[in-house]
Parts: sequence; C-alpha cells; structure tokens
Amino acid sequence: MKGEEVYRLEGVSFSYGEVPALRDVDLRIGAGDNIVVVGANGTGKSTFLKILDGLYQPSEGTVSFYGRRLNGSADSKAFRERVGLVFQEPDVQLFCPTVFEELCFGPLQLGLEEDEVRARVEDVLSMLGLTSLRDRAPYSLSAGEKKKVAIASVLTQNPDVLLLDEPTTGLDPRTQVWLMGLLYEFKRAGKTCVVATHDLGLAEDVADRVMVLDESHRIVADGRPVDILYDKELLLGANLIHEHVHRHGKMVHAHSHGPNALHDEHG
Amino acid sequence: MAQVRLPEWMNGTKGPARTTGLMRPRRGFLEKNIEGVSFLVREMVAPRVRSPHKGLLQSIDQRARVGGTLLLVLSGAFMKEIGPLAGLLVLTLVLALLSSVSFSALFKRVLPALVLAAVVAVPLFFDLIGGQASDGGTAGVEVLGYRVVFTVERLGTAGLLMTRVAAMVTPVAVLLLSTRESDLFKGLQGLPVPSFFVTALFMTFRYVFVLLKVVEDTSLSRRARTIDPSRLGDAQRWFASRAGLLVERSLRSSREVAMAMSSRGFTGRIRTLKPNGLKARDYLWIGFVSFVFFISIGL
Repeated sequence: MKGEEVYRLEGVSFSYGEVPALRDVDLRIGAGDNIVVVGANGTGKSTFLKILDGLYQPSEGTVSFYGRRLNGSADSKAFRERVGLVFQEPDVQLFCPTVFEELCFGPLQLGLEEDEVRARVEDVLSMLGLTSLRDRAPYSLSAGEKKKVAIASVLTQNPDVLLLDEPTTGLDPRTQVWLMGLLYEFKRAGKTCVVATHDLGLAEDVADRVMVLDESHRIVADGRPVDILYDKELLLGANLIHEHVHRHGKMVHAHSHGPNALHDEHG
Repeated sequence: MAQVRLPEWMNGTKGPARTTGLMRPRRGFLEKNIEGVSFLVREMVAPRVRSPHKGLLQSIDQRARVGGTLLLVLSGAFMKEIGPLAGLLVLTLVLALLSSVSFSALFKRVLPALVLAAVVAVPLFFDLIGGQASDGGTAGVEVLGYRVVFTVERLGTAGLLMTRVAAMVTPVAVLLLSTRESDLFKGLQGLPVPSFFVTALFMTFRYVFVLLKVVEDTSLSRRARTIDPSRLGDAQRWFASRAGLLVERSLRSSREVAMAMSSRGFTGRIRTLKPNGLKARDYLWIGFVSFVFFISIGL
C-alpha cells in the first residue's frame, strides 16, 4: 500500500574490517517511494544497497523490513520475492549459459511453476526487446545488452522493491533513455525503487526523494530533488560537482560543473 | 578550483620522431609464455559462442550429443589394439565431416594433446640403462650420449599410445567445434549428474576466461610500457605480484557471484527447467554409439 513503511534503518553502520563504509544511517523508506542515493565513488552506495537486500548485516544498528527485523530472515522466500537487486557489475550477476536460463533462474529458485516461469520470461524478453538474444551466452553480449539482461533477470522475480546500483554506468545514451522510461513505468506500477548513482541527471529525472552520501560515509542530506540538486555548496562538499575556472581574454570565469551547474561566479 | 602545475621536465614536447615507423615492443620470456598458455587454453577448450554450421551432430539433441561423445571417449579407453582405435578415429573424422567441422580447426585442438603424448612416448626409445636392450633390439644409434633403440614392440607401444590419445581427444574436439557453449552445458545438465555440479562447472569455466582476460590485459599493459624484454628474475617478481592480484580478484568475484545468487533466491539447491523429450534421431544416435561402445569392450 502506498506510503506504508517498507524499510526502517536505525543507527546503521558498516565497515570492511577497519575500513568504514557507512556510518549512522537513520531513514525510512515508504512503499512506492522513488529514491535516488547520490554520492561520489567509495562513499558506501553499493554497501547501502547490499544492506537493504539483506546481503550484508550492519556492524551496528538495525534494519527492519515491513516492521520485522532483517537478520537471517533475509534469505526467506517472502523477502526474496519482494526485493530485487541489480548489481553494478553485470558480469557477476550473469552466470547462466543462456539469456533465457538467466531470466528463469530467479523465479525458479523462488519455487514458481515452470509454465509460469516460461510465460514471465517470454513477457520480460518481449517487454525489454531482448527476444533476439534469448539463446545467446550472456557474457558474449555488449555492455548495454548485459545491463538490460541483468535488469530483466531481476524483473522476472516481479519484486515490489527494486534496488539498482549505478544503472547508467557504461550505457550508451539511447539505453540510458530506455532505462529512465523503465523507471517511470515502475513508478506508475507502484513499485519502490532505490537507485544508487553519481549521475545527477538521472536523479533529477526519476527521483521523488534524493539522499546524499558524502565522503564521511554519512547521509548528509535527504529531501526533494529540487532542494538537494540545486544546493551548490552541498554538492561541492559531497564531491558530486566541481568548480571550473577558465579565461575569456583577461576575464577569469568560474562556475560549477554538473547537470545543474550555476554560472554565478565571475571574477 | 585547485590549479595543477606540471613539473618543469614535463613542459614542451620531444618533437617529431626520427624513426620510420612504430617500434614493436619485443616480447620477453614471460610475455611469450602468458600469451602462449592463454592461446592454448582458448584453442583447446573454448567451445563456440555463436551457432556453428548445420550438420549431423548439430541436428541431434545436446544431451544425446554430449552422452554420445562420452561413450566414444570410453570406447577409446576400452580398446586394446591399434586397428580398432584407428577405426574409431576414422569414424570420428567422418562425423566431423558430416557436421561441417573444419579439419584445420580440429587439428589445432587435437595437436597439443598429441604433443603431450609424444613427450611420454619418445623416452620409450631411449635405452637409459645401457648395455644390450632387454627386448633384443638392435644396438641402435647414439643420440646425446644415449642409445636410441627401435624395436617392433617399442614402436607398437608408442603407436598405441598416440592412436589412443588421438581417438579419445578427437571426439571431444568435434563436440566443442560443433556445439555452442550454451548447448554444451544444457547437454551436461541432461546427464544424470546433480545440477549443482554442472552449474559449478559452468561457472568455473566462465570465470576462468574472465580471469584469463585479466592476465592478458595485465601482460599487454606491461608490454605497452616496456622497450627491452626484462630480465627473467624481474619478470618472475612481477608475475608473482600479479598472481597475488589475480587471487584477490577471483576471491572478490566469487563473493559477488555468491551474493548475486543469494539475492535471486538461491539457498543451496539449484532448480532448473525440465528439458524437452528426445526425438527418434536422438535415440538412433544413442543406439549407434552404444553399439560402438559395447563392441569396443571386446576389441
């Protein structure tokens, strides 16, 4: 149901040995939310998504899913049916001999009947325009095709919550537009989406809510896209945009660089 | 914005080069070996990614094809004489011909195995103990201070070994050249082997090539920054450090793959789609290779 609390994170921290990846994260995610988590490389975005997918247990703090604390129950069928993660690197996600089998893998593990699995896979292949690739080996595909297949392999599970890690990385402009269209459709279908990216353009196009992870591995801002994506100081501090200085004859011209660049400084 | 200042030695350019063309970096001992091993692995074991030409084997179900090849290999293991082994080899070559498999590609895949077999066979001709050959051979000829003795028995043993290797490796090479990789693993899934083993085999196979690509790229990047081949000791030290990196990357990949599987509902037991039924021609093929297998036991 729209607005119902799906996730609640309280004081969540995670570290790889001595190296911190995420610190003191407190947040709530409601059903149907479209959240984009932005942050520079190495700020903990992928770790954050893996915690939401129950793959990592926080070093400190708690994560609840529909009011129940996530621990070993993350492997339960009920959780896996509802949450799907698209990894940043499609090569680790695509491990079956053919695209068709790759798309069958998730629903089969969740115990769906074969007929239903085949029907779902045919629908998803057709929806994403992948029918011609059905018998190809996933590793022999181009980067854009691999990404599409990785997304398709999660969609056949029909998750209520879709987690996407850097979905636009390595995609050509046409596939990026296709991805935005897909995210709009999810939104219309009432799904919850959490996208981790450093692509501010994507955040502006698809998000209802933007969160910023900075280099201290903390969430330093959480709000409406219009409030976050035009806050130049915030974005500069989080290393999401940079200042650029160039010369027009004797005049030095400085402005920020990024999708929401402001040409407001001249010297 | 922070200004970047180039050090003094980086200012200016070197001007036009006086050479007539690009210098081709020379490959050292290590680079040659890495490239050679990588080429050999690809040539010997990599099946086709795309659809091969149409032919006899391609018209048979993958499970029957893989099972039939296994029976041909076992037939080669059971035969005791050169004649039947040569017959099996000819039969396999006819299958290759009917399946539009290129003989040159087939030869490239079988050759490394024959070379290895020859390495085992050649010492049969050396009389290392000295004196009169125990099997009554001639005095032989001197090679590098050792006596090389030719007898019918020694030639027969070496010939049997070489023919057996050729007869057992060729069916596998024909299978790899006539079958897409995806079909090969589908065929294995059809055999009475737990699906977990087939999936583990496929993943090992797939990620070996991913890691092989990393090794090749590392070697190329080193060559791109090298003019003279480095000394063997330096090359060995460099290779040891890269091997460490490779282990680290393979561990990281395996962790990520395990997580990707868990994320999609895998809990330790792999469920796969049930395969379609076999057709009359598949049963005919299985009957034929079973016949070859059973008569091979007595030959």
